[in-house]
Amino acid sequence: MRSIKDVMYTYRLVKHALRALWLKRRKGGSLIRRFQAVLLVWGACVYLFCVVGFWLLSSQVIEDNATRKATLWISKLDMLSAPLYLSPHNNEFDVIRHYIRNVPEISYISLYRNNGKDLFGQYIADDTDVANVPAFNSQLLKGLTQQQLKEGYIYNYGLDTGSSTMRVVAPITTVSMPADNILDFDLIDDPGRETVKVIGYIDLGLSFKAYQQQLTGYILKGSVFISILFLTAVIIGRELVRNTLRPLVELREPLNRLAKGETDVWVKRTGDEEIAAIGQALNTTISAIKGRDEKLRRLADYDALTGLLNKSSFNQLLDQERQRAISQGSSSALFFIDLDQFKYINDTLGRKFGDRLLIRIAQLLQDNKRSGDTLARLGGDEFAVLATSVNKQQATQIAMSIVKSLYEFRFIEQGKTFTIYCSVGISMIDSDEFSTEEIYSNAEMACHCAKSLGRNRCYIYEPEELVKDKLDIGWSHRIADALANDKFELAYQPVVSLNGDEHPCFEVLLRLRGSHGELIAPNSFISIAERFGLATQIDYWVIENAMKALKNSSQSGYKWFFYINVSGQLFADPDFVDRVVLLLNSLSVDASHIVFELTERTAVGDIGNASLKMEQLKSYGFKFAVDDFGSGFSSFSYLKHLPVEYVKIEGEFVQSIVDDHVDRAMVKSMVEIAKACGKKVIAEYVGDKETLRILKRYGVDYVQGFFIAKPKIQPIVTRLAPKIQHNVSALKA
Amino acid sequence: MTDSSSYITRLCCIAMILVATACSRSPFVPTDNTATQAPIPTSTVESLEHLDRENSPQRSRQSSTRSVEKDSAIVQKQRKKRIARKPQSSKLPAPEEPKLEKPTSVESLAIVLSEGNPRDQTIADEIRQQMGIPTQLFYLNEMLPQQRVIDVVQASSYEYVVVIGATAANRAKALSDKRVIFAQVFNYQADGLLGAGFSGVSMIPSTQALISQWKKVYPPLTRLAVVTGPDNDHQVATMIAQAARHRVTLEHYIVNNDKEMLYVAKQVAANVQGFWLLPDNRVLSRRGVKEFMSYTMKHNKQVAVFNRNLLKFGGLFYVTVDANYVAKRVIRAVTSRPATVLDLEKAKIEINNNTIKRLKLNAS
Repeated sequence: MRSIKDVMYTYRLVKHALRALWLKRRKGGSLIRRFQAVLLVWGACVYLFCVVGFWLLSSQVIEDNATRKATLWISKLDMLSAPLYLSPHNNEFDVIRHYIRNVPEISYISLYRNNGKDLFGQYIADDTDVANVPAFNSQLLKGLTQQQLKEGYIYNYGLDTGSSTMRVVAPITTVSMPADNILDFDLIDDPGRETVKVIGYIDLGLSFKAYQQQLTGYILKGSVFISILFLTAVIIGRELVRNTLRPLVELREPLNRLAKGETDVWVKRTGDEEIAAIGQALNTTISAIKGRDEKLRRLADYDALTGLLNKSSFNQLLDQERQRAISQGSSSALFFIDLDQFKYINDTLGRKFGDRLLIRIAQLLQDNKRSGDTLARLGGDEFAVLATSVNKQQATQIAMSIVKSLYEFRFIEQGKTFTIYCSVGISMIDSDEFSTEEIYSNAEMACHCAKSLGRNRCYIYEPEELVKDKLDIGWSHRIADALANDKFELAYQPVVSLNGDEHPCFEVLLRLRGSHGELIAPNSFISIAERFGLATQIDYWVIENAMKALKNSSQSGYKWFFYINVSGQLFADPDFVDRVVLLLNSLSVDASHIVFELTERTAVGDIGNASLKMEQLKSYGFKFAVDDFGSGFSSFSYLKHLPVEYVKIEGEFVQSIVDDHVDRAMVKSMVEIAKACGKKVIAEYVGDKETLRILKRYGVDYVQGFFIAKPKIQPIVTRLAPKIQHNVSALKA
Repeated sequence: MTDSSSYITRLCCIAMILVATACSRSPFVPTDNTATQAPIPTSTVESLEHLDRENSPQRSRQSSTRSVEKDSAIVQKQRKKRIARKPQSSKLPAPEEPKLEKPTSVESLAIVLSEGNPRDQTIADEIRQQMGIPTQLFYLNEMLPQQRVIDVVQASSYEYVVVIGATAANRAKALSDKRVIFAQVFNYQADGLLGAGFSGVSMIPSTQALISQWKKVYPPLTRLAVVTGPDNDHQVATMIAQAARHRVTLEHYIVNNDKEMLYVAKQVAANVQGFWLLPDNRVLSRRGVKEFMSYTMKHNKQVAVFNRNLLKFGGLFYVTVDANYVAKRVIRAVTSRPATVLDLEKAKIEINNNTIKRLKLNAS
């Protein structure tokens, strides 16, 4: 029982140790230390198991030996004591006492008579306490069979490990043969006819204290020896483990560097096969990480399509250059490049071709930039160049060279040749007045200015325009808001024929409804809209809504003609013709009732493009008029080539025709020239009756102005139309 | 089953006697045991101390058996000279020659014996055969009341009753007005048979014959021991005297049980050259005999045994007496009315050749 408790205690110890090791591993620690700890614990377990096993085995051997010895002693004492019971001399027990007095293992011997109560003789060793001699209970030996008695039955109490004593009791028997047939009995074949007689009992106590003490001593010596061996093995094992795991430990330093983000790490591929394989795998992994890092860096810093720096990395570079320029007192320049016709190509030929165009342009810009300058793609069709150590003049030259290189560039795709222009905005970097973001914004704004000035040009940003630009930016937001929320309105000013044409004609004028309900004339915002590229959207809005009004009037039974102003930017829009035709088809209005007015500057500025688109639209029935004719004398030579039906004389000439004979002569000349070219003439700004009379005399076909009628919102026009018609007829008369 | 087998055995014995008489054959016919059991290489010697005048000595049919007849007169004289045994050597009375009365005629005879004992049955058959008078056998059975058999014998008209075996002899003590002659009883003295007025025949074969043969096998023989229970003075004294004739000291040790016998035997083994194991059932047990034989064999002690089965456990001599001779002695006791016990003057001795070889004794 005690041995089992010892084993259980050992088991709990080992369990706690293993739990501690497990927790240690979870918290992290040295592999070598844990390995050594496992070895230590395992060794200690083996050691404990050995000692416990040795103890248990030895105890079992002692018990077996004690049992065997007890059996032998019982047999011997049975023989020695048998004569005693029948002998008249009780001092025969002295013979036994003398015989066993030098046997240290006998603790006591008690001989009882066959009644099991009367003590016949007793021997107690000197080192045995009399009180420890147990009482005899003969009931244990009652009811034994004859055969058990003859075979020498022994009752064994077992080994008491506490007192190291084994107690056995046995009956003392005599056996006698039957008198008859004694001459022929068989020793082997026992018929069981012998008579067995119990003459007494032996109670024997054997002490194994000496053996156990001796055994304990041996175990202690063995334990010390094993402990020394174990400690030696631990020390040697520790060194062996350390040596064995050294290549693994050497991986720690490069792995730490790798964990810190360093990729310039190389792991040695020396050592054992397994470690070399790990090193090889790590090197492969590191190479892959390096490649991936490089790829990610390129993706993060460069534009995937063109290979140029992207906006993010360019901004960093710009910031660094600003810092440098400020600190060194030098000046640099930022060029914001926006392609003028890219959207047309992209939409016409598809994104794939657009991408190819961008790549070509990027290559073109890269080839033409100065060494040391930085080119980046900001997104879409926008590029940027950062030129270092340049003044305004040099910056303008660089920008012009960019514009020129693109102007001369021809993109041939699907057998078609496309011309690509660009607008370049320049922002100087020469002081800390502007932040990096503001520099960028200034360049972008300058680019818009270049666009608004007719594209294919450059524009350098001047700080003095800052306030105005801020106001413009506010207007641009209002325009965008009006377009998005339909806050524009149309006004209609009658155009009256002086030649008997009865059909009512109106010039469609744009108005913006202000925040207080007031109507704002377009001269307040149209230039800003053009500057911010919003003029085209306004033109489309006007055309669409005019067509809707024309459709409504047509459905109401009126047959009106509208003169619609379009901006120069609209003619630059490649979608102009298609979108107008689309609106025409969707609203089902008569194209011959619409006359597009374009300014002389627009018509002459790009006469080829304008003529082309006018011819296309004329094929659908649309008509064209040259507005503000006479504001630029250069247009006279082009008039005969423009496919326009009407010529509207610049209002400033008409306005002062009564008082200024020069203006009168110019109007007269312009009418004559237009008539010579086969065009009908319209005079605006007719403010009084005399002006009207003079114009009529000169042969003007149509007139408009406040004398005729002021511009009105459509319902008013509708309501006053008959009256106007009446006034005009009276004038004719 | 037991009744039928006894009947067949008796018929066989009668037939054998008739054949033997017709052929004038020797009466010393080996017992069935010696004839049928021969796993142990032995040589048999029949020894005759006193040649019976009614029978001519003849050699046995078996070539391997040789008879040694010797005059037992000298032995009779030596009976008075006995070796004192250690415990009671000075207290033993000297054996005396039993006084024989004039032979009387016996008209009928009753024989009482235990059933199921072939040896006793053979002796009974021999007696009936040799007497030639009306003889009735009474069997004691362990399963039936034995006293009733004795009562029947008591009520019968038989004046002479032969009891064979200790059980029959002790039962016969209840008989009155009968002349009881016992046979095959070793402890007749302890059982008080002589005190009951019985006469009888000793169970011990001729000591002189055994010692004579022993000396031939082992000439240096001078010291032997016998261990018996108490109250065997009479016959042991005779044995001691006969041994002394051959200058052999026969030491007698008295013990009370099997363990004492074994203990004493081990104690004295160092001082003697051999043991004669006597059939005293009181001190013999199978476990004791087994250990005794083992001990003596281990210590190269020569042992004469009374049971042929003990030869295979290392016994040197198997000493017995032929049933025919026992019957003759019983008849003599019946007819001559000895006051005490008639000794057996013959012995049939088998020598264990294996033990001879083991002990390197004289095999010739």
